[in-house]
Amino acid sequence: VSFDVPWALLGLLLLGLLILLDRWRRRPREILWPSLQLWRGVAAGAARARRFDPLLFYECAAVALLSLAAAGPGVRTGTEARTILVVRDVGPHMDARRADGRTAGEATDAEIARMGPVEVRPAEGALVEAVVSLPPADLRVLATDREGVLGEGYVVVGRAADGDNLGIDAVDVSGDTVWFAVATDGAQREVTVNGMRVETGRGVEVPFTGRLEIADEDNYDGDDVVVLRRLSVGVRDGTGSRLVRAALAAGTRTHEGDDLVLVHEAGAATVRGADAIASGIFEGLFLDGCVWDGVATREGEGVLTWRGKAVAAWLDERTLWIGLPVDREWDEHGTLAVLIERAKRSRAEARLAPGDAIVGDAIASPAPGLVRTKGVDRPWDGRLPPARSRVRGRTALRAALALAAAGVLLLYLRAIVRRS
Amino acid sequence: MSVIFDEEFRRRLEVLKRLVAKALAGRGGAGRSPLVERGGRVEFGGHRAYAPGDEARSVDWNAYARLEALVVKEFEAPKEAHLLLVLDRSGSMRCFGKDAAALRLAAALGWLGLAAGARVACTSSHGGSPWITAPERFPELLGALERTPADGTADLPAAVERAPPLGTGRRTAVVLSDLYEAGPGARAVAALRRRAESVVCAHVVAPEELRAPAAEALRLRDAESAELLEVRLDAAARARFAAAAEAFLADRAALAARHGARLSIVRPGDDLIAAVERVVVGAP
Repeated sequence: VSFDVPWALLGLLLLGLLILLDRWRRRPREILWPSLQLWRGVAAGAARARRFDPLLFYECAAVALLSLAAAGPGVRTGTEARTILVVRDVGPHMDARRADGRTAGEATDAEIARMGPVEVRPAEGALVEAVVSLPPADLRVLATDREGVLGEGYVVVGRAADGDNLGIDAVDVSGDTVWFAVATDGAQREVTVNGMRVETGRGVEVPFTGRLEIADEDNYDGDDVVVLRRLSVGVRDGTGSRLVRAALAAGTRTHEGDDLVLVHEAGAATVRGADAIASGIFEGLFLDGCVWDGVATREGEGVLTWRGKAVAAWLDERTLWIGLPVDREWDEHGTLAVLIERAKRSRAEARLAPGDAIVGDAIASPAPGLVRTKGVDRPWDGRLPPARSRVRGRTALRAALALAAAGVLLLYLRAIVRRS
Repeated sequence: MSVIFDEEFRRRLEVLKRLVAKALAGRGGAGRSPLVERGGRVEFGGHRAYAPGDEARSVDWNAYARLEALVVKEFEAPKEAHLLLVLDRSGSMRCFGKDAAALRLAAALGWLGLAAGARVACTSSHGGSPWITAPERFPELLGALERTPADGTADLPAAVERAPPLGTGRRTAVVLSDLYEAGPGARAVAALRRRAESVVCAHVVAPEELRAPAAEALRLRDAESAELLEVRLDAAARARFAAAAEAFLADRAALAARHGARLSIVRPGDDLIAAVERVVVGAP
């Protein structure tokens, strides 16, 4: 059994207070009496035994039930196998041999394997790929290589000509969502894709736009399944489209207790201020009223904050993990991965409070990052948190307890009336 | 004036003077005059000429036959009548106003006795007074009554022993006590019966002490011995206490009857005049 508001259980301390009050109320009162001879037979009988007091019982029961109802208990059911969706950059550069003899792809695969017994599969059956992750100098090559990269299911809505030095990718993941990645390495002509104006020519300082919408019919209560209807992310940062292919979340369903893990690696050479880019990346990512003030970075104090009450409540049911290693050369890793964990894991072990963030690189960085939980940094070995069990019946239990408390209070009042 | 005997109290007692005079003189008949109900006799005071308004039955018809004149017989209270007040001044009398009620009753009886021409004395285990014969010496009796506070244990036999010797006239004794100690009470009543023709037990009991308090748990302290007793009261315990109180009253009434005394219940909240009347004439 888990509790939504555990501190409400402090109300149970009132039980002790009630019992103390009862003892005080029923303490013997000293009276001067003419003679004890009439009392001898009375005191010798069973009258010395303490009687069961229904009023005290009702008082204690009502307090206990109300405390439990306020605490919001829920029954934890069995765990489910987690599903981790890994988006892996399959661009040609991933096959380039590094100094250690391994390719970036091999290093990435090794990191994925290190995550533990996870099943790697594409979201909703559609392979989602990071398209490009190359320095600007290689962009032209990639742009011409586009057709060889995109797999089935991708809808290309625009393509740069060889001389444009511009790559535009689009993929329809869910069928009703289009996301874009625009890569450019310098001054280029303006391109408009689906209403998004891409202002080229300023290198990495191309604003990010992204949006995750939750439809009105979505329900966040209790055991209801939350459906993330749409996620569209656009990235322009001058490093091409090496950044997030976060659209993989589109069309996938997340559930209460699901965790969203984004592991984002940005090349230091292309990042002008980690905070600025990070905040740009995630700005407007989630719900209306939710504004990301920043995102955790190793250089940026690892602070993740947000505003909005509804968002806080929403995040209370979910945990957002963000890994953003920015202190490494991007081409050392060449890996872009976005993970969405649809796992059930124990909140008691790794529940993040508002303001917490995990800084780390689950895939590309062999060095463990830090996990900040409840304001305390701890090493993170890159492994995902354990599966979490679902909590069911919280609302029903709370209602039942409140109803029982009301019934007990009625019995209490009736007993008082009878006694008086 | 004493706190237990003020002017208002004395004025109310005036209405009882004639009643007590009759009781001490025995004119009320054996059934109506318990103070002189055994061995009492009426002193003949002489003749006087008949006057209109005299009762016909008071006419001495024998004298009329001899003298051919209407004369009526006059009676007067015996000058040797004695009234002994035996007070329980134990600690138990302190509770529920019993001590004050007993003192006021004793004072009233003493004042009425003196007003009727009787000798009056009081005694308790703590002290007493000599025989007082004149109404103007009533304050002396009152002082003796009030002198000692109610404290300690009841020793009615000792109080009886301490009393001044009773004379040869009509002798009446009134015991004012809560009679918690049955043995000593019985001995005192028996001793008084040997000395007085009439013994009345004014059983001073408060309704509160015959009823269990409303509290659920009590720590009772004995007013005389200071002994402590803890009691938890439920319905059964209350019933047991009520039964014990009822048995107590019946037992004390039987005790009085066994020794030829009459018992009259006196409650602290009762009207004092009615209480005096009950003690004097046995009215219900």
